Amino acid sequence: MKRLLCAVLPLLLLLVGCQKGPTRYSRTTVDTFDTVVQLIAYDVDEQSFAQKADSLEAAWQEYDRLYDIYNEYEGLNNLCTVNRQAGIAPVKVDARILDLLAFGKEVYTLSGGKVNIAAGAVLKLWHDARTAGLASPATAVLPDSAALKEAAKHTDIEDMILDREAGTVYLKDAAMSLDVGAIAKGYATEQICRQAETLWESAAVSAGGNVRTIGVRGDGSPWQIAVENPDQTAEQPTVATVQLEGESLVTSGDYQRYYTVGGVPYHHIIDPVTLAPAAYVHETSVLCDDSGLADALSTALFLMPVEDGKKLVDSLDGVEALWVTMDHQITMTDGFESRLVGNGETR
Amino acid sequence: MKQAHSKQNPMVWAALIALMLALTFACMFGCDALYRAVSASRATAATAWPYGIVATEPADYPLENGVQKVEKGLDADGELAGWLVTVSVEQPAATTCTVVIAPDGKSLGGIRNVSGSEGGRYYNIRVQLPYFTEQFEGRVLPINESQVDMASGATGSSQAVVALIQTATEFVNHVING
Repeated sequence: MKRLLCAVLPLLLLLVGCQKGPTRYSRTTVDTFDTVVQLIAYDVDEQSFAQKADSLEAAWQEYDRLYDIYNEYEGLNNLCTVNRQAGIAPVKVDARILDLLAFGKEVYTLSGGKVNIAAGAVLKLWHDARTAGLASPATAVLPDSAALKEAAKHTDIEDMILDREAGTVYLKDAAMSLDVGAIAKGYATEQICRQAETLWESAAVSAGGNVRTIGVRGDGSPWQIAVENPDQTAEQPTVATVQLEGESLVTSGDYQRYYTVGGVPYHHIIDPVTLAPAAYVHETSVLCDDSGLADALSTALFLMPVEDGKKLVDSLDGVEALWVTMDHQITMTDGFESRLVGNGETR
Repeated sequence: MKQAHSKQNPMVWAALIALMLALTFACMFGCDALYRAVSASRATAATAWPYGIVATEPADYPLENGVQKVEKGLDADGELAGWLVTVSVEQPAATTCTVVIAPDGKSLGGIRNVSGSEGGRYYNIRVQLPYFTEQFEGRVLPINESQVDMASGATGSSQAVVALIQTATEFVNHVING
């Protein structure tokens, strides 16, 4: 018997040892949240990965439709419906919309009013001007300043009434509208990744640069996520690379969505005080556990001077940040610096 | 001794000033010349094939998965030195390039003739810059995972090129080398 065990045991150990570990698979889609969504996950085989990725993709598309402020869909009340019913009637909505809007109120308070999902009236003027300017660069113009000032009178977040019991949203001010661009992608990424945590032990999602990781890589090493250089003509394409283990990294910058008027670029992150594109920094990156919070905070930091941003970050537990200033200097919190893959890359 | 030092010959001062002027001019004009020379050498390097390839000839294989063209890269003796696989991808950004892979499919010579037909503001320029293309030269295939996984704020350019390299690698290993 002992001889048999001696012969079989090594064979069994060999078989277990030779079992193939999870393999790295990836998928890229472009039809959600008007951006590129990348998914990397370690799974037992391609079919298993594909099935799970399909389910997440379907979830993405649901969030995309729910948080869409530009289009309505048959049989669905989404944020576009809410905006169209402003000043008319409360709209019964999916709980995922109520959750997002409640989060939007929290973020408004946290950011001292810098991130305001009720500022749709102002943002729409910039969005329309940018869309027209991109379609016809020769005739691109800035939004009318009087119209911006008038629109700014209709951005009070307290006029957004959430009724949890009735499951409704009501915009009291008929001239107000919601724009969740500063939080929706990150918030949806967070919810999707919480779902993905039940499917994979090791995965990473990037929704247009909103990165959220699950666990570590398949080989046990941390995920390596780069922060893109806002100066896209620079030799170095990234300004830093950090190690993440189940956390999120979100970046806001002035170099991705913009249009040009008279040779001057105007980006899409609008300062609620000046009603014009913010001009404090070129880029901000926030590292923390929650992708929704990281998304909101990266926008908030973009909308304030670096010193104010540092005070805000210092007041929050588990939040680290990096800034690329207007003169292309890189500054970061100590916690962010401690997560760099190589200090030599940034200094 | 100190006194002697302070009474140096005026010719020495004149020589020192002339030297400083010469150095200043060298810095002003030499740097520019150096920059031009480096740029020229980089441009030459970017168009030259790796692995000592001096000539190419068409190779007849069924094209698939975005592979547009396959050529044999021949060295000075006419021996096969590498495969030149021209590939296109549409996502994350439409990009085409020629990937040069060793005959055994196990290493990457480099990427050449990169062109992006869409993408961000600088995408088309960026993917052609030496800093971008040189990062792939001499890499062991398949591209291992010690590299950056994703980029926050990314335009997707590196992912597109990595996808091209992977497609070309699979083509060499599965279609050509079986």
